[in-house]
Amino acid sequence: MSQESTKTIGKPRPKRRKDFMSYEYAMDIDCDDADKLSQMSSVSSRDQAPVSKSVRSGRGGSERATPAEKQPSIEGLSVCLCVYISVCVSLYLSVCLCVCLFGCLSVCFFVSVCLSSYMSSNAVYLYRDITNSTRPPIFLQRNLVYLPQCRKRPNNSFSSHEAFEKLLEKLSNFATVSSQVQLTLTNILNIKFSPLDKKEITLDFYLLKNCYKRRKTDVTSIEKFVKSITLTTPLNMDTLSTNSITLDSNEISSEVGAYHISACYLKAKVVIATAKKISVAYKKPKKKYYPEAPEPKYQLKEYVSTLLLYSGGKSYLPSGKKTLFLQQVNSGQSHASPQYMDWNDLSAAPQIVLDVVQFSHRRSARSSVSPVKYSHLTNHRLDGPITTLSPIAENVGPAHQMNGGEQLDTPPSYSKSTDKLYFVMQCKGSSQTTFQEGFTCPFCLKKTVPSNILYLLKHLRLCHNRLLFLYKEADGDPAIIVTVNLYYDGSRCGNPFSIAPTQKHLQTPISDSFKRAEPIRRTPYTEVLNVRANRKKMTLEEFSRPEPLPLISNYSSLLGHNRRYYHCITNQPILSNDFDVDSDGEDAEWMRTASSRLIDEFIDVNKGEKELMKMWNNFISKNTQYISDTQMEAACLKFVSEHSEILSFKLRNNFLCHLATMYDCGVLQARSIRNIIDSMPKKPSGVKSKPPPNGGILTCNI
Amino acid sequence: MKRTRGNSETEDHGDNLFAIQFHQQSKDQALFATAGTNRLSIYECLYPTGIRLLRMYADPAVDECFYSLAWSYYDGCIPVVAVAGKNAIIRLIYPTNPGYSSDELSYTGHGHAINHLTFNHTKPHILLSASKDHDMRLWNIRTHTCLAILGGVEGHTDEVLYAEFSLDGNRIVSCAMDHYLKLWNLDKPKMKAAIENSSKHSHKSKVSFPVHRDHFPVFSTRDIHNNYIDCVLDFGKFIISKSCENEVVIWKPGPSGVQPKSSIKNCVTVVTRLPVKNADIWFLRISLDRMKKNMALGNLIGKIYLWDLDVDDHRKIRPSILQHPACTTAVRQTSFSPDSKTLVACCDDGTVWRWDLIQSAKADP
Repeated sequence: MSQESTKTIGKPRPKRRKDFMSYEYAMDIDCDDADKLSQMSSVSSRDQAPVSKSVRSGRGGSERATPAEKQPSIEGLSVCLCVYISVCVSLYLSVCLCVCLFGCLSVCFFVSVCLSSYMSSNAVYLYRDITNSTRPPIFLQRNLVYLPQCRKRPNNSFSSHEAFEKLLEKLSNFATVSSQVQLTLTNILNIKFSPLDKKEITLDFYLLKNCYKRRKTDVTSIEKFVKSITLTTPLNMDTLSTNSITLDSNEISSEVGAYHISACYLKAKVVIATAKKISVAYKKPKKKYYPEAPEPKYQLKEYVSTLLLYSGGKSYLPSGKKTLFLQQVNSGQSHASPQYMDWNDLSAAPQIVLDVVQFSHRRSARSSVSPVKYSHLTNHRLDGPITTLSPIAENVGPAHQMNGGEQLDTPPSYSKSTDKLYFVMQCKGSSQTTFQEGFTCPFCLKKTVPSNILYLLKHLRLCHNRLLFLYKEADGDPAIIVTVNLYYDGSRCGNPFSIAPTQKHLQTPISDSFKRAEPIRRTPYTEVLNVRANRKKMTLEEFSRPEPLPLISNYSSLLGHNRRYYHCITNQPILSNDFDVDSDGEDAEWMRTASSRLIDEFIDVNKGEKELMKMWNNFISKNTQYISDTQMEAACLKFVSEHSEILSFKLRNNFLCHLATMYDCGVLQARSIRNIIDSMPKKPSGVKSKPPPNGGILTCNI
Repeated sequence: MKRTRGNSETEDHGDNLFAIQFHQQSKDQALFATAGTNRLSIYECLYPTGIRLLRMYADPAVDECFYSLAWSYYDGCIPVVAVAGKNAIIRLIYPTNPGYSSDELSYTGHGHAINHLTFNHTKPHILLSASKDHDMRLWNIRTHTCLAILGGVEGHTDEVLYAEFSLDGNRIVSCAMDHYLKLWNLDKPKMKAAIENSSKHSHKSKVSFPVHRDHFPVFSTRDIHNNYIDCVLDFGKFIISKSCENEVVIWKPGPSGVQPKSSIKNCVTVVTRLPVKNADIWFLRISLDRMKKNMALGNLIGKIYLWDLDVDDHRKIRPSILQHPACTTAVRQTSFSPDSKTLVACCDDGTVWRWDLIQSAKADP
């Protein structure tokens, strides 16, 4: 910065120092910097009200744009993307969060979508791809009413005989099907190979199982190693596709000995020698994992990634491309715990791309090999996505006609609609259009099974409350306009009772709703548990109208809540045991001190009078019940009883003078004065002769 | 006394560095820290020459601008740095024990930017922050509580720019944009009790600490300066203060020869006024060394005035000027090393300058 500008900006006393109001809302934030957002939330939760940030005139250049380079964040304030579960988990590529500005008694929520973050949607998709296996979306039964085929429990009753038959049928069907999963290595990305390295790369895959054994109350869990597969592929990417692993589904989900299986992983490990020279302290890694250790001249970099195949009775391996993100492991520690990566870093991370193909073998009479939905193999449920292969589809038929016999008819527009769909994301006057085929929710990957845009729209409106959806037709193709729901009430995110701080050193406890690390469930809140109202037929017209905004009066107040309150003077958060303390107490000591200081500044009043004025002012400010003239007698009587000792000799005359003044003003009657004087203690006989020690006696001339 | 320039280091952001401080209590290492924009950098001063960057911290908020930092120590020896600025969040950083630093070690409460931070000399866990919200706050960094607020009815009526504890730690002297210099007494019974109770307070009780609020300074004057007062230092009986008026004033409250009393209002005795050139912007800070013998102040054009205060007569106080052709921007703050042989300075262009005392030159009169 030049010297001149320093001079001008840093002028000592800018006479027209003007505060530029610049309210900082989340709308102005670049959302792809998650760190900044987290900071923003911490700042705004501190501020009691939107505080105007004024330009500092004295410190030249302090307001200029800050360099764009990223810095490691201090103190772990990095909280990644805020994703929110309302009823289902809605991981949205670019919905970034609400920033909550807390007032003492009010909460304002701002949700923002920034177009810049749409740009990084790829990364979000990848993040979602990873986290879907570990944090699958949660769907409640009642939200799937509009998707009749997805309902898990048909509500109509059926006889036990039928149920038994179905069960038998399902079991026999399941037993006859076994499948194989073929994982084909198609690409390796973002790994730098040294030119000195071999022409080949070795990938080790280990099939691991988390097993547990329950004996009475003890649960022992171990990790079992099932088998290892080694792939040696040349570095030339064209020939990579020849390598594949085949896993049998029985292998994945079968139990190991006496142990039950809780999860099954495929662990991939790549060891790469880089040209950098190793340090002296380098330790040779365990031989078990390196049957052929590379030359020790080069530093070994070990990358590990795990692929969840099976967990809790569910398989997590759909067909298609699967990207494994590799994490570098320090060579010292062979078993590093896998951590969730920040979604920002994903695109740059080393990756292995696997092509997953599933084959099923029917061992029944029709023993043909045909691709089958993998979920059938492991989902022991009465529902499941409807495929032509499954006999269960027939069973869903009656369930389809529940709700008082009315069927969710498909409108005529459905027949002509194609699978093409446009999503128009609008934010702050700009918009971005994305095109997709098929009616899959882009935010949570929920597939609407009868591929109908109505079901998709219903799902979007019900499950993604932070956004508003509007149906429109653009050039004959259906388009959904997505805007941010600025009126979204996020106050009931998380557990309402978790306001109490739990962490140590807690200066600013953060309740669940403001954690940005992971999606959180919304507090279940139901006024009426179930209403079998007559549902209207779904039509596209319903979605062509804007969504009705939720009225605040719809919510009755919850007993607990997540709002953070602050003490009004100290700006400190109100802790859980503070709620009974009124920090805005009116009985302020400073007020009495200030008034007595002001009284001290009088020059035409003597000491005794000042003393009495202070005593009287203190008395009146403490006893707020005396408000009218008629209460003055009672007030004087109480004052006399409280200060009897002082009034008895020192300030007796001053007080009499005070009473006389009140008589003059018509506040006291003569009879009242007599009563008060009677209640005053008599002058001690000894004092009569002596003058009072302070000498502050004013003769009363009435 | 002559000093030679050791070397300079430029921080890559090239932006204003507002604060620089040596860790005065460190024994084996000469550590100092600089703060500016959203960065806090910890340097080690190497001997005989050189500066080494040990750590650099960046606030996640890119719009943060740190204005002040202060060193103290924790549990006897662990150094701790408090840093704060525009966003009014005080952050505590343990440069040698990074594990201590976590999210919770940030204090919020001030309603506006924090202009200055300082620790009590006798109670190293008591932190004082002066803020743009016209108030000062005392914090206990052991129990992470805000224990007192200084300001209110008779407090400052504009941004508090600087505040400092006296040597015995029982008094605070503060200065603000409202041209007032105020003395605050920490010996009042309620304040004493608040300081003591804050060390016993535990967050597990889930009850907020009852914050004491002191509205009444024991002394206040606006007779010394006619402009923003951006620095005030306690110098035993005397007080050194500076406004953007090209002079440093050494004065004392009350009439000459009498101890300051609360009853004596608006009566000050100016001991001497030390002229400075090109120091008419605010936010330039004076620094004293540990023994209170040397005083340094940078100016707008990169020169550093150095006064030797260890003289018999105040009329003998003469400045020596440290300058370098490459150092041309405003020197915001300087700091003496614990042995006062090294002086470091930070400038508006993000440079850190080191000046060393030449041993042989000290023999010269």
